[in-house]
Amino acid sequence: MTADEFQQHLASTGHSVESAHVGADQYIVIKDMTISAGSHAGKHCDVGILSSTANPWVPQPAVHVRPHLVEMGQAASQASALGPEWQYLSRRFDRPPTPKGFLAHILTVLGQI
Amino acid sequence: MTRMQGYQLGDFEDVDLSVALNAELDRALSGHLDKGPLQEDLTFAYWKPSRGASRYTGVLQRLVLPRDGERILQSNVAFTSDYLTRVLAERPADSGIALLHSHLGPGWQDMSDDDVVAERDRLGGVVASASALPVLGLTRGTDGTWSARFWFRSGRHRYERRWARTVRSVGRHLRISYHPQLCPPPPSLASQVATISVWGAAAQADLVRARVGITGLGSVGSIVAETLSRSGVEHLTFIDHDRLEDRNLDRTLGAYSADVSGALSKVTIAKRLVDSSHTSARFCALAVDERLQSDTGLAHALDCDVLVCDVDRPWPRHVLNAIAYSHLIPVIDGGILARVREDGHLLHVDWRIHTVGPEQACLYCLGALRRSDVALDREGLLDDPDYLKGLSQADRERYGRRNVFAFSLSVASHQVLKLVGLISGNERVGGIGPQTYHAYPGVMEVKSPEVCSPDCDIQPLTAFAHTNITG
Repeated sequence: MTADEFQQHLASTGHSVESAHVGADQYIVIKDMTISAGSHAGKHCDVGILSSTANPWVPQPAVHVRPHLVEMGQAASQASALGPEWQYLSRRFDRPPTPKGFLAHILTVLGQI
Repeated sequence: MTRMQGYQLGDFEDVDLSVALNAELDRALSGHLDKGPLQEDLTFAYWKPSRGASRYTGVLQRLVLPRDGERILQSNVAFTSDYLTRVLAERPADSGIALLHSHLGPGWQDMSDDDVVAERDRLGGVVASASALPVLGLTRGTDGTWSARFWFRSGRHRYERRWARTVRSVGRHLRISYHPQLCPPPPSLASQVATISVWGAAAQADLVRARVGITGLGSVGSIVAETLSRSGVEHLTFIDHDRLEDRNLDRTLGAYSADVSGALSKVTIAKRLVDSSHTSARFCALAVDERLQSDTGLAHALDCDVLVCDVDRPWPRHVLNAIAYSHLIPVIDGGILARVREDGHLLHVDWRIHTVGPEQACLYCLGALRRSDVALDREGLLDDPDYLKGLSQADRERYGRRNVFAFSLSVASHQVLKLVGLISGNERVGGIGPQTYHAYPGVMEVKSPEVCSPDCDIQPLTAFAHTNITG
């Protein structure tokens, strides 16, 4: 999977995507995602994913969310490089990354909060 | 910078040329080209360029077999204009065009006048202008030996041949065809008699001419370097950006206290070691004081026929894993895991050795590398003490890199044996599959040869010669 292929999948599944830059790093920002399960079910948040031009792309399993979803320091959360309004949720993802599988990972992270 | 770009001869001066194909493609070619003792045959194929620091490799990607009526078989063989037209029309972007044909004798094949006319005059100009890449020609001998050459433009309507030094068929066995003049067999040397007495002169000739890269010149890599140089390997490339520190002295071969105060690089120490210990008549060791993930480090890795992975960081191991498939350069990987309780009590030690590349499972599918670790390493979090403090005990052990010299000796030894087995095709030396040694009770577990899982994202990279592996 490449980052482009993931973005194409996001677009084809109706997600709105923007880019954000922090220094030399580029992020894919998925706007206004719906959290479908867990303690925040029904709420919306933006999700940031560190991008890369590498092929194959090894996506960073950590998810950046805006606004904060948990008290900072809880649920493996910490400050995000994207800025103070963002929160970094440290997670693992060790399966072969496919666009569908990685989107499912993001939704799972949000749903488990 | 136009070096190794395009098809102008001037951009390829002093460049080492090679061709690589995976073993599955080689078998398909054997089935198509072998028409018995009286009939040659041919096919076109598409290829991708793999550009190293000093080597340009044509990586064969897929065949475009002739349809009925697209070639003329009359003991020798010729392609029709319709066949060429179809091949040009179906050419994928960024791909070159190769013409492959068979000869009726064994060994590295020269070219007949008809062969030259076909490649230079019928294909040279039309292929170069369509693909912006040189024509690649290959000939297969009856014993499966390949010969290969590129045709570069040297003037108006003028194309000149440059022979490839090697053709590499890569699968469970790395079979290298060497150009007999550009890369002649080594002279018989008294210093290698004992080695040759074990695996034979033919295997030794194949082994010592292979260009072997070692990434990571610490505990295991320094021993692999010494072992290969003593065994007679002629070309070694060392890639590592680390400097020697006091904590390395208990397990780095050839390193001394004065090297720490002199802030010597590990590659410099390894080169010093092998320059004085090698047994080859024409030895060359290259020290590349760079990270593998850098442009320079990656380019030197792409100059090698086989790579030995002795780095423990996940990101460079991911890069090597991708190179093994994308650029058809097999990687012999080894790793040590020592589990120690927080109070310092040793619990268990394992080490494992395996080869990755076409027809073998990749590091992810072997469970020898985790994608999350690669992402953490790329992000720099594995150097962040605060981040490491928050990890589980199991994760901290994995990143702990605990090791002693004796463990490294064992891993290095098995890596070299795997390498000899890979190149010689002799499983009596290299074993049959991935190996895991359990220090307690003291057993070597050998798995059957494995392949990647169906959903693996590394295997599909095979023969694409991707340039943006490091990102």
